[in-house]
Amino acid sequence: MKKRQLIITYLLLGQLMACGDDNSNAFCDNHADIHQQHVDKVTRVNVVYSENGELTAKLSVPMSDAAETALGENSNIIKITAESSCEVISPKIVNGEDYWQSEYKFECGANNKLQHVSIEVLNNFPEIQEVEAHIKTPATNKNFILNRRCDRPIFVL
Amino acid sequence: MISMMQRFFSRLGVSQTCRSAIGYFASLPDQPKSNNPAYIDQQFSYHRRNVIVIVTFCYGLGYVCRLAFNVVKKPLMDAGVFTPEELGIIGSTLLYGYALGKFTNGFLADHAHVGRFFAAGLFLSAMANLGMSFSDLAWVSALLWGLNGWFQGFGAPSSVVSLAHWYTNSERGRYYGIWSTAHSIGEGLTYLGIAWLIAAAPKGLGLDWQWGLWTPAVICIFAAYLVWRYLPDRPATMGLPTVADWKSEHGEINPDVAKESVWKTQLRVLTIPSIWILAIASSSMYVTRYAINSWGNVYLQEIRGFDLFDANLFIFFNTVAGILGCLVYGLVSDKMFNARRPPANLIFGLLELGPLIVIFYGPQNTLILGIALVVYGFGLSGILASLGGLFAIDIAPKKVAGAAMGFIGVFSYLGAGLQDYISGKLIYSSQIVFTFPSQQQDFQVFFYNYDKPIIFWVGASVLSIILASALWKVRAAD
Repeated sequence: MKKRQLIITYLLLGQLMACGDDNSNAFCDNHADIHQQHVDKVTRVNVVYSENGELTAKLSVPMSDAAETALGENSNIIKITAESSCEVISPKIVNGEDYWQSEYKFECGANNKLQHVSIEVLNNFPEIQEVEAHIKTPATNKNFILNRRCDRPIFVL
Repeated sequence: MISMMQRFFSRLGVSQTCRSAIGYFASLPDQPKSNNPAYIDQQFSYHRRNVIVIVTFCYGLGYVCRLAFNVVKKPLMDAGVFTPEELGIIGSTLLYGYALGKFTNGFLADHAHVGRFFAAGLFLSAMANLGMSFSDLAWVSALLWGLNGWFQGFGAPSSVVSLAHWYTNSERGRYYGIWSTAHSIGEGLTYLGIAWLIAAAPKGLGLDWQWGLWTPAVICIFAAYLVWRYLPDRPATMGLPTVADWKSEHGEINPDVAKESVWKTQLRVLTIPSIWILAIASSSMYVTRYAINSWGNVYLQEIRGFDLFDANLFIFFNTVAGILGCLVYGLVSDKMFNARRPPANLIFGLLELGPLIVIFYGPQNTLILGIALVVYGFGLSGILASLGGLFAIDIAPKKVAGAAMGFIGVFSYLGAGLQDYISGKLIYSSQIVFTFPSQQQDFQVFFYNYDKPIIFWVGASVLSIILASALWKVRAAD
């Protein structure tokens, strides 16, 4: 085989390896572009963790996807782990037109480092297919989408 | 030399095959000198062109195998393959390996066929990158990356030895300058090219992080082939005269050189307090340098919200500005301060520190961030050229300038390595994990706070400038 043919063969092989799983990921790769078209039907989570150790999570979920009673239980929605325990404030639920709006609050204190936050909505509400998350910590903000069909968060929002 | 090494290994009980393999890397025996001036001219012309092209181009390509891991750090963190602490440990092993290589490989390169020696380093570095792409065990990756540091250390001494054999004293500065641009070739390829492969579309190809290690491996194998094929051994091994004889350009021989053994003078370097202060100053500045090189793009993505491609583009601009910083530092210290380094050190130190503060504590504006990174790169490269080399050569006796450079180099890379570990640990200690469990899988998103590492990085620069300024009255030796 001539040198040039050899190089082209390797380049094509490389291309094949690179594009091998394109079809299965096409939905996830392109989803950020079409997300706006169905944004009003998606569950949203806004979490703010402040410097004084207060964590507030606001959930907006289509009524068809969750029951009010289930939203009233903190542990159905959010579980947190910090160096020491945090004070749990009772959740508030507001009945919107098509959505349940609920709020969950934890007072952890400024010197009580937050370690782990588990948002349980995909686990406990099988009707929810996608979550749009906005999370703010004292250092940074991250906005992303989680869709059951994708194996990783989609960060391009 | 070959026979001496082979006798040494024979006494150690090393097999004949191993001894032959070691012999393969040794410089070949001298050949009878050619008496054909046309042949000699033609050979010198051919090999001198090859030497400068190959050492510059291939040393630059080799850099990709050293730096690409920095580009894939963020994807590795996001994928949960390694924690920042583990990444810090892995990154630091490369710098420890490189520090070790600064000592051992310099000695080896003096006795080696540099083409084969350098090629072996590039090839082994490629293998280390390949190995890294298949490893999700922190200790395996740390071991591979530490070895990579040592393999990476084959390049610089081989290049310098090659330049010494093929260019005269009066030419060497010019060609050394050309060779010094190699790191920018490497950093450019890494922070633009590799970042382009990994960055999400439309700015990049969006390939998996493994491609960020496979591609450098392929590049380094290609570079190894070029070096093996085109980088020559010493002129004498081809029946050629020394380059000084060929150009009839001999330097003056200092009669004092013979009075004290080099080894004795080398030890004397360690008793000079200024050298120790300079070593700590350089080491502290290397903390900042490698903090930005290793964690800068991760910080820009994690905290400032840039995507992988833009974050690496910023780091690329900062390294390019460094080329200008090196050149201007030499000019300023020579012309404006009559070859006194401390005043120039202070100016360039402040040019490094000011923008560093703006980067981390200044307004959240992309243009200001870009300008600050460029000025920072300019100032950093200038002061590093001095602390890591030029000033050391000024202070040390000239015949052991190499030892002084080696001592400061080892200190600097130990500082850089320690930085990677400490930075990783500090970043990891701030980690908050957000998990979104579902029946199919657990999504994880990591949050970090860089406040403590930033204090460490800026503090290291402040310490370095203070120490460098403490040498205000130090004059050049010899």
